[in-house]
Amino acid sequence: MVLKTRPLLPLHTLALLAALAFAAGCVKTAPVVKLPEKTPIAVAFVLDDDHQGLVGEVPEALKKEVSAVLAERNLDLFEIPFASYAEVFVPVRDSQRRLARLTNSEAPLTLLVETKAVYFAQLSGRYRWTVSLNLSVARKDGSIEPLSSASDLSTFVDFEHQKEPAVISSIASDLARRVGALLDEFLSAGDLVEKKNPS
Amino acid sequence: MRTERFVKSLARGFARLLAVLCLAAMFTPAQAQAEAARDRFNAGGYFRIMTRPDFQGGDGKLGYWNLYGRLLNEGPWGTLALKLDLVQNAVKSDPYATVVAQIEGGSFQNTDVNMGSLGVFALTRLYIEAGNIFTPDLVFQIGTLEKRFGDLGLYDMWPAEIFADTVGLSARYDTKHVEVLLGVGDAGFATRKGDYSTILSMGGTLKFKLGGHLEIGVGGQFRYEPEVSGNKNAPYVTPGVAYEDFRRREVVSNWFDAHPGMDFIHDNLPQSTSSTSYKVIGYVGFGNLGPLKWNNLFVNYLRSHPLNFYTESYGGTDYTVYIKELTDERHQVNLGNEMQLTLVPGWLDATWSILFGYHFDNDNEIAPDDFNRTYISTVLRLQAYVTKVVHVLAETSLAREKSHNGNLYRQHFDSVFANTHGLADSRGFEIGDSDTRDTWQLKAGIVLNPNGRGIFNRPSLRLLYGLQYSSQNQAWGNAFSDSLDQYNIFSGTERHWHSVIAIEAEAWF
Repeated sequence: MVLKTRPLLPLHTLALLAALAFAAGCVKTAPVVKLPEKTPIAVAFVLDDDHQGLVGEVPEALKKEVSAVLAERNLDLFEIPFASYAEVFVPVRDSQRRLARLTNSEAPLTLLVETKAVYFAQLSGRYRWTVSLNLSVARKDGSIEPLSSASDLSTFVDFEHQKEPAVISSIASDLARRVGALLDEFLSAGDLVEKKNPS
Repeated sequence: MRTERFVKSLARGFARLLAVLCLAAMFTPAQAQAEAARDRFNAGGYFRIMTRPDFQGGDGKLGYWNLYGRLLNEGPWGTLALKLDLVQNAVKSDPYATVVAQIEGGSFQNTDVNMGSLGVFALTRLYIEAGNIFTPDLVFQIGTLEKRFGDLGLYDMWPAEIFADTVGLSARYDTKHVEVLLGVGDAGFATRKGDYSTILSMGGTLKFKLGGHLEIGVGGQFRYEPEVSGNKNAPYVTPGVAYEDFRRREVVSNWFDAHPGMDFIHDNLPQSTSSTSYKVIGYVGFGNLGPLKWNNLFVNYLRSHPLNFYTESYGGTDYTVYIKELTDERHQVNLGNEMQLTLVPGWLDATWSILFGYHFDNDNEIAPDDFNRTYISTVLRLQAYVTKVVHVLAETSLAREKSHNGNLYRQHFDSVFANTHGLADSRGFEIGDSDTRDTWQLKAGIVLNPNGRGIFNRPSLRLLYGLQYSSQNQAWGNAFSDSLDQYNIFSGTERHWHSVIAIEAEAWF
C-alpha cells in the first residue's frame, strides 16, 4: 500500500491565490510625495453657507484628518486662526482671491480648504447632502503656480438634526484624501522635493 | 403706519415669491457670480436588490411584514431622486428655488413577479422649494408636502409623519433652536383616487432643538371633506344600514326583504354630509451621550379618513351604498422607539427598536380585522466589525399581534372547523382558531461594507440566513393550497418554522 500525503491546499486554490496576489501587485497606488524635511504649511479652513453667504468653522474631525494627511508628507500644519479671515471671507467668495489674502503668513506654503454642505433630500430613511470641496495651495515665494481643485461628493447622515458640521465629519477622511492628492501634485511639480532630495 | 409698512412688506415678499417661481418655471439658467456656481443638477437614490432562495415553498420573504424588522421581510425597492436648482442666488441672500422629483417602485428584472416593469414605479414626490424671500430662515414649498420627524430604521416605518397625502403649499421657518412648519393643501386624490373629492388638508409641526442633545417636536394634520350635495363622490350616508349587513355585503338584499314593493334607489336616498379626520404626532430625540449615539421616540394618534361608498349587486342591478357613518370611527395609537448604541467603539454597534400599536374601530364590534388589534414588537440588531469592511450581523425580533374581535389567525391548516368558539361557523366573521399571532425571527450573516463601519453605512453586500417561528401556520407568502375540499390534490400541511437564505445588496447613492 502506498500512502500519499495530500497537499495542504489543492493546486487550483494555490493557483488562484497566486493569481490574486499577482493582480494585487499590479494595482498601482499613487505614491505619497514626502518632503525630506519638515516644512510648515499654513492652512485655512472654511465652511461656506449655501444661501446666506455666511462662513463658519469646519469640524475638528476634518482638521484632524487633514493634519494626518499633511504629516504623511512631512508637512507641519499651522492653522491660521479662523477669526483672522472670517470677516474678509464673507464678501470675498472667489477662491483665488481668498488664497491671496492668506499668503502673508510666515509659512512657505499656504493651503485653503473651502467646504460647503448643501442639503439634497430625505431618501428612504436617510438624509442626503452634497459636499463641495474647493482646495487651493500656493507657495509664498510664487515659484510655483498656485494649484486648485474642486469636487462635489455626496454623503448620507442618519438623522435630520445632523447639519453641516456632522455632514462634513461624516466624509472627513474622503475630503482629506483629496487634500493629499492635490498636495502630491503640487509638491512633485516644484523644487521642494528635488532640491532637498536630489536622488 | 406700522400696519401699512407691514402690508407693503408682505406685498413685496409675495411679489418676490411669484417672481422667483416664474423664473423657476422658465428654467432660467444660473446667473454669473463671483463664487463658482455649483452644478445646477444633482441626482441621488437608493436601491435594494436580493435573491432569497426558499426551499419551503415561500416567495422569498421570511415573514409577513415589517413588524418583525425590515430585514428579510421586504422585497426589492429602488428610488431615484432628482434635484435641479431653478434659480441659484446670484448674490448671497438673494432668493433661490430648487425643484425635487422622486421616482420609486419595487421591481427589478428577474427579482419579482413584475419583472422590472416601470408600471409599478411612480413619481412619489415633486416640489419646488424657494427661500430668501421674506426672511433668510423661511422656506416655501409648493407641491407634495410630506414631512417626517424621522424614521424607525429597523422597521422602515415613520409614525411621526404628516402630509403624506397632501399636495399644496407649506412654509418652514427654521432657526438654530426652533423649526416651525405650516402647510395647507388637498388630500383628495391620495385618498379617493379616481373617485376624487376635495379634501382640505392643513396642519403643521413645531420642533425645539436644544444643544445637539435633545429635540422635542409636536405636530398635527386635520382633513375636511365638505358636503357637496349632488357630487356623487362627496360624502353621503345611506340611511338604515346595519354594520353586520355592511360587512356581509347584504345591505341591499336585506333592505328589499324589509321593504317589499319599494325601490332602494328612490325610496332610500343617501343624505349628503361631510367627513373629517386627523392625526397628531409627537417626537422626542436625544443622544450624543456616551455610548448612546441617538434615541428617537415617535408617537401618533389618528382617526382615519372615512370611506365613501361601495357597490352591491342584487337582482342583476348594481346599487351604491354610502358608508361614511360606518367607517368614521377607525382610530390608531402607534408608538415607536429606536436607539443606536456604540457598544465597543470600532468593534460592535447595536440598534434596538420597539413598536406598539393599538387600533380600534368603534363602528365594528363584531368582525376581527386590522382595524381592531394590538401589536407589540421589538427588534435588536448587532453588527460586529471583523475588519473595516467585513462585518458580522445578527438580528432578532419578537412580536405579538392580538385581535380585539375574536379569531383572526390560523394555527392549523384545518382551523376552519374551529373558528367560532371552537366550532365551524360558515356565517361567522372569525377567521382561524386563534386571536393571537406570536412571531420570532433570527437573521445572521456576513456583511461587506466597502464604505466602512456603521449599521446603516452603505453600500452593503449581505449573505444572510433567516429563521422564523410563528404560531400561525405557514406564516409567510406562499403558494400552498389551504382548501379542505375533498378533491383538493394538494393536501394541507402544518409548518410553523421557516428559513431563507438571502444574497442581497443595498445602497444609498
